[in-house]
Amino acid sequence: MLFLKYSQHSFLQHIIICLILLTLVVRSDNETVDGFFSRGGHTNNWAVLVCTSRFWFNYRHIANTLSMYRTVKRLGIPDSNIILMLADDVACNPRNVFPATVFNNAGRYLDLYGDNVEVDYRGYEVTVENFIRVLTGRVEPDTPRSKRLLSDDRSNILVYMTGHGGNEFLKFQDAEEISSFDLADAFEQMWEKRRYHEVLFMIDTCQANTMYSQIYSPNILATGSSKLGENSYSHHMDSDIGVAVIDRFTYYNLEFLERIDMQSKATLQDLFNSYNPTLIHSTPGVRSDLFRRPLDKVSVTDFFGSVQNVELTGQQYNLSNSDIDIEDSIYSSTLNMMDVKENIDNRYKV
Amino acid sequence: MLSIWVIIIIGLPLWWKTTEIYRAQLPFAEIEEWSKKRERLDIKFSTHFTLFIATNVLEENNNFNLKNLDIRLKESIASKYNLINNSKSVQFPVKFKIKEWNEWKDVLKEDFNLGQLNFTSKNGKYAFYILPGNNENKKTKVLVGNQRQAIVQIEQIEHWNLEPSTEANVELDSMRTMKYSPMYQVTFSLMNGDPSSLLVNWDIDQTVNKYLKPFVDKISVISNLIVESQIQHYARLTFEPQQKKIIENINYNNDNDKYFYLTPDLLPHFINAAEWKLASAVSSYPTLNFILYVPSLEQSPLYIQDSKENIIKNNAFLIPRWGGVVINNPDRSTGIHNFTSEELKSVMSIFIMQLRGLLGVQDFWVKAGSGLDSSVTIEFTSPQNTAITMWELDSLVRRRIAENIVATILTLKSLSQLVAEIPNMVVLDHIQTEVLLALDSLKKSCTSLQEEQYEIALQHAKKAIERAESAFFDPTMRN
Repeated sequence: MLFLKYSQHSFLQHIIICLILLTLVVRSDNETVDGFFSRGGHTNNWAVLVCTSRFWFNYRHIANTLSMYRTVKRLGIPDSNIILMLADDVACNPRNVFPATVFNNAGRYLDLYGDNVEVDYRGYEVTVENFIRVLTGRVEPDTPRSKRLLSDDRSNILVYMTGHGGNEFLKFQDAEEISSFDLADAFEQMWEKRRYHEVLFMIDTCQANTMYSQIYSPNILATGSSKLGENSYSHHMDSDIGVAVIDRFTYYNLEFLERIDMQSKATLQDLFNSYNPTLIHSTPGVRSDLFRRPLDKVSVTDFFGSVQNVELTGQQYNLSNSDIDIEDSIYSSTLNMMDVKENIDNRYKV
Repeated sequence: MLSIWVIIIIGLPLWWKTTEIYRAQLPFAEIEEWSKKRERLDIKFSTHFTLFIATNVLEENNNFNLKNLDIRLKESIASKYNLINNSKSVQFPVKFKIKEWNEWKDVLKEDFNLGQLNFTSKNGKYAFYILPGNNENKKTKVLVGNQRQAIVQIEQIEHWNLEPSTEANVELDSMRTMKYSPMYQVTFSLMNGDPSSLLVNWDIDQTVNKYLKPFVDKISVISNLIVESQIQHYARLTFEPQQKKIIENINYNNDNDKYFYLTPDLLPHFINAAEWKLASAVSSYPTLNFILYVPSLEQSPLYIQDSKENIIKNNAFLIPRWGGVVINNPDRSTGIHNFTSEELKSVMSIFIMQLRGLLGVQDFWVKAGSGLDSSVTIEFTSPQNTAITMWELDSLVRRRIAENIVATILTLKSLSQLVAEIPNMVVLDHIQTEVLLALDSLKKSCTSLQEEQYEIALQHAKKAIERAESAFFDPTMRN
């Protein structure tokens, strides 16, 4: 008897505790933990693609950038999540014998400037200041949505840059340059404000590997076309257009990426292994000391595509209202626990 | 000679002064203090519980020691809570008040009518009503109300299990739930696969007003929702869904003997990001997309299968921090289909389920079910139209307070760190003002929290994060 009383007593206690615990569910959101929900722990992808060179003879830099643009779009990053910066408009240049087109191959199989190209920063808008502002989010309040990098702590960001550079700098517009320190500070500001989950920084320029040498913020993976003292070369020229149409590093990246589709399981390690210094004519570099995932576990689509996580919705919310009999429905409609239970089991995550 | 000296004496300080980087004084010490506080135990959410115990229960059990009960409850809460939560930055002191309850017979007669209990309270104050059992079935019944109350009808129980409810879902929730924003843009899109075989329209205005508006109103304490809608035609999929011959037990109104289905590994590619215009240029607030997809004739009917190859009844899935999708296969016989508000009700109930998840409303029934064993039946009263109960709203309010306080402190800390690290950074006076105002709101929020004024604390916490962010993201802050 005593036992019974005790157990009843404790049982009541237990129920009350459970109810109380319901009310106490609060989580402080200051720790980033990795989970099984997604392979990479990110929920959205962004791309910042920058061509910093002006003038007709830098046709190839614009073609490089547009090729990357086409690739990330093909692999599922929507235009709203791509910031495309092109310092010149070669498609409409009077010297372009194929007006309103940009090709990245002498065969001219693919017009990169076809329909649906959304350039966010164009011509003289492509400045060091604007680039840093995009990264750090310190834009003027009246800046349109398409010119903002609205990433969050679950965003994977691809930052691709191409242009003319040197030891620890990249030239913008023939007028100014960004140093590797500016870049590192910008990434740090992003990290401080949780503006990314992971970043892949890719740069195709002379002595490109020096550009990522100063980066110190976590979760950044960097790759460049050539090491200190090496130039980055163009791949081939189109004699009708009259200038080189693509750079080697970008060309061989694209060669790999063209074989990737949305369902692909290829990893960044595969991409980096595909780099061949004799073909590229320079030594591509990879910096992974700040990155915490092993490269053979990182899908190419974690950065170049946008593979969304999915959760099947098994439940419906019981909308108990109707126009007239609100009062009746308040008490009667409760969720059927059996259904709910079943549906919870049915919930499935990828 | 003199003129050179004049230039040097006047010019040099002038040059120094004019080329100096302007820096308004920021309250570094105070920010530092806050960020240290964050690491210690600081934020307290005290909760009061009033237990109304039916006099009958007391009579039947003479040694039901009331004084003992509240202390025991407190202890077991403390031990249990520590068991499941190791994070130390948030504390939950619990207080109990135990009252005898005389009017319990009326409630029992009405078969658990919670409406009879006029327990008015605010966030942080809850009432439990303990009733004697009726001996018909030996199950303990729990009814959780949509206000801040619950009834427990207790039976004689021989044994019981105490399993701590685990918090394994926290990570999942954090990936699904949007980051806090004072405003969200909610877009409902009706995507039509092929208008040449079927034209679609929907009574979205009416549906939103009827089913969603009460929820929007309720949640506006925390965030406002801007709702908009669109219809898009020629919304192609990027891939071909798989097809299968029909199985007998599923009834389709389509004459075809095959149906199409999507497997979970195809769903991540469902959204045709390149062609579907889903981005809105209206504002820079985070967008939540809800898509009602009508497949083309060649791909109808279209279903979603889970990994065990069962067709999901709802035909819906959620994309974390993005939105939700519902696939609908309407009747194609007339070539035109208008989704009436009645038809959209079930669609909307899925969208609301998804919206709740995206906004961070925790599903109480899931948590409660996992904590109790089978000898207890627990029921939940549906909220009055609003799709969110007071319990859920309270919990979300508390969570957003905690998040915003922590986020404000982190933002201010980052700001002061940046200013210290980058010596070329200009700090103008209005940055200083914003920082001071943010600190002020932070203080007020914490004070209100101590006074258990949760609503006021939330308003201050919202202001604090807004000001801290506007200081951090100010265009003049640059190096």
